[in-house]
Amino acid sequence: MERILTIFLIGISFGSILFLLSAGLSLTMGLMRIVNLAHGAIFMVGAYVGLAVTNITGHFTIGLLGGAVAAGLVGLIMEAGFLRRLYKQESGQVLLTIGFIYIIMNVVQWIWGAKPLSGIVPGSLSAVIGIGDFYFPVFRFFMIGFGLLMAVLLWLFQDKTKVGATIRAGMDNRQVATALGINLKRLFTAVFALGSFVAGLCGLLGAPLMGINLQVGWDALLLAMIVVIVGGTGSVQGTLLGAMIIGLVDAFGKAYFPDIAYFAIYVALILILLFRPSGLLGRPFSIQKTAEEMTQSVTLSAKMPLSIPAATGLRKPGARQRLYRLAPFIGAACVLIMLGPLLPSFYLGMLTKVLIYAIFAISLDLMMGYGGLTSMGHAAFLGVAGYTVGILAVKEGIGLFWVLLPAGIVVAALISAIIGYICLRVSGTYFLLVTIAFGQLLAIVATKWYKVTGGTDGLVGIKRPDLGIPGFNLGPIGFYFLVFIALVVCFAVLYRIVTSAYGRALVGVRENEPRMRSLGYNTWRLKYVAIIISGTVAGVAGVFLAYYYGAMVPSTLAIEMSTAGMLMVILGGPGTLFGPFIGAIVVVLGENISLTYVPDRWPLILGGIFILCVMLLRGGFAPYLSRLYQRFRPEPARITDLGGVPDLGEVPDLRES
Amino acid sequence: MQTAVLRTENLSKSFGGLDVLSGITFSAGENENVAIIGPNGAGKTTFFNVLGGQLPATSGRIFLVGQEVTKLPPDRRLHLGLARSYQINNLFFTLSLLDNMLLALYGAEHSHLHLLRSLYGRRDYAEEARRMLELMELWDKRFEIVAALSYGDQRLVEIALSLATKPKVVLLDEPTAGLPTSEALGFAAKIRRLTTDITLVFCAHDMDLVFNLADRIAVLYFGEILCEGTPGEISCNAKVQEIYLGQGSKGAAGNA
Repeated sequence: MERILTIFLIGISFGSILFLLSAGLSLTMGLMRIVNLAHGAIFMVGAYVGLAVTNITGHFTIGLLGGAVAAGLVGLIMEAGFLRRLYKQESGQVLLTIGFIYIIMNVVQWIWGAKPLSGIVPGSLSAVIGIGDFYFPVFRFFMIGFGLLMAVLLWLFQDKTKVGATIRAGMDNRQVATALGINLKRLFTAVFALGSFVAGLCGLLGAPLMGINLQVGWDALLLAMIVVIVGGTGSVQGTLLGAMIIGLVDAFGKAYFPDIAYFAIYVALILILLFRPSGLLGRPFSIQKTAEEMTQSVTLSAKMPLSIPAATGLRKPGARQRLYRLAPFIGAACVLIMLGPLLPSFYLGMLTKVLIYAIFAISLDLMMGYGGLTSMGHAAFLGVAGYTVGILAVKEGIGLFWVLLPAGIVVAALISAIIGYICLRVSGTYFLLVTIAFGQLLAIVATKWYKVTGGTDGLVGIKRPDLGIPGFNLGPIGFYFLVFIALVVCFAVLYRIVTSAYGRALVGVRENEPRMRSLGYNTWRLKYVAIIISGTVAGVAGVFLAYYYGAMVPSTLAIEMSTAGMLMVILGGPGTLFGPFIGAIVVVLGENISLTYVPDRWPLILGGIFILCVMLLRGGFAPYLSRLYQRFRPEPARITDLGGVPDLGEVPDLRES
Repeated sequence: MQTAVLRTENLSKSFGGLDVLSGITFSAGENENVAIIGPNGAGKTTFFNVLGGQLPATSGRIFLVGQEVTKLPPDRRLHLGLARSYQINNLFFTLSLLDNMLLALYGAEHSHLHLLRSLYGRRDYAEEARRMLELMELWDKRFEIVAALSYGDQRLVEIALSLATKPKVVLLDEPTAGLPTSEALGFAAKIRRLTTDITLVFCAHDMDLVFNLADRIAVLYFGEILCEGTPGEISCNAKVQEIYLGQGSKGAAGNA
């Protein structure tokens, strides 16, 4: 009995910390529809600054406040400087805040170093209460009390003052709200900063449970996200309920099933997604664009530097036209073939890596660029294929390439079919959050399932592909060409798919899903197929990545890998296929150059690129390149999709009489 | 009495405690043009959303050619022959006009997983797209993205998308919304050309359009059908004149 009570109190105290952590995320997501993935990083800032202030002043309370103020300031800068310009543009917010995660984490590492610090419990709270056989630390009670106090305060603020209603009114119609004399800008900034302040407040408070290290930025985000999905956004009660459930599930899981406790909260998440996707107390989080927003997105893409096509006839493409369309691809292929034997081995290795990442990036582009399904867990598909190769090669001793390649691809396809099914229970921002959770789930499996995956050490000793040709050993150049062929095949298949009737329908879903439904399309199925194809192609990249490194480690499944893929897509140009390929070149080369000159500052640069992309380079490089290329066109330019593939080509059946 | 192509029984819809539609029993026969009129907030658009499957009904049933569709999603309803257009242009604004039309034509198919076939690969669809675009006098603009078309042309495309799959019933929500009166009449003629052999259910505020197109009129008032009848009967109905036509609109009614 005492044991159960103790576990219960542990769960509730963890739940209180989770509540404080998630309250800001729920507030900004539910009310203002801002997706702030940097919320965990802001929490981390609160912990580090709080600890530093406590150490300087010697007062825990001042430390708490110091951390909260620092976190609030970071939030203030993010909102007033950047997010303010991205209202109602969810994908922009997502990418921007990912950039901030990298920057915040790297700056924190710069100042405090990479070594984990330990949290502190002030002397006055370090006592333990004991009644009979039952003992419980006072600090935990303090957490519970503080959490509940903040819950009441936030509830009063959100439901009993006019603020909640005012923000909702502002979201519905900015102009009217402004005309009524509400200073929306200032209000939004204030609420956002408040959410960050609360997260920062619990940074130091929760440190004994969460730790103070660089991984906390991601961990805290993940926990907050799960709480918000389970509880539902927009209400304090929902967040509180979600936080307590996750806290209790975690505590009881750790007490009774220590081996698989890490998965307990994910099981809770998956159950909620399957049976109550809008969360326990959530208002359904539907992101149906209003007509006004749709026109906004049009104006946005209309700004993209592509010329509006002149109306010309439909003719069978002539030989010159075909040559024009294929020339860049043939040219790129020729360059890649020639570089193979010419490059010194160090650079050849780098180029091989570029090609593998390019396969990964174009696979993500199908989902993200064409289907509008922004995923932050895409590395999961790559990782499971790589691990399949690793396990079969290292543990089972199977060397034949023709066995390992299909095995990796099939496993990636299966996993994407399962994960895709669960993720598609929700849409929009929630979809993104759930993909993060699944990516992390698989990374945890890879870390914890020591017997099979080798844990954090990973699987080492994957030899170069054995093609089964007697007397032939694949060298670095041979491997490079094998990857090259895989890229060509994947590119050709995806190119065919995105220019097919299905591919156009997928773009239709991205542009206007409700209309597609009323035109007779089962949009769920279109999206599901996109995820499976995308995951399968990512599996191809995973197989080659395992060969490339000769090893598989859990970080290949982790969120950093997924965000790298995202960056390649947005940098190059989503919805273009060749853009993400260019993105892969830029990111891999950038990483290598940075590691040579400023080895520790690569995440900072990466974060900077994310922010630049969102603020200045919407649409990526691709539109600029294709506009440049159109100057060499044999005939007047003709484009059938402003946002997508330039020039879908002529319609063979429809001849101008 | 003709056979009912579209029929509702006691159809109701409430949002929270607010009853927007209460017990609507309505039917439209084969090739009939039915106008639904009513003051702002009468529930016309909600009625269309429930019929089209965009919103679930709270209670009551919907039948399409004798088959119950109350619980079916919009895509299944389209395959059974029910299409709709929207009051506010709801198009694929960044795609070309031709792509918009072809996507609509492909909608009639049951599987949309043509992974390898080009959107332009179906000769019959391509020809149909051409026929419809020529009928709308928009063939020359087929490669323009829809966002670049004039509002009136977009309005026409909005309706053409719903007609592309040759549905049995089409629901047009305010087909002339936002068009100047001078254009509205020519527009009505184009709709008439496009909707031969189709049961047409539409709602409109523009009485010229209503009396031009409708065989029958149903008046929706606070979520209930107040009365139904031929245009002549409705324009003479004292209650309708009082609540809806009111001041000044009688002249328009008299034209019919």
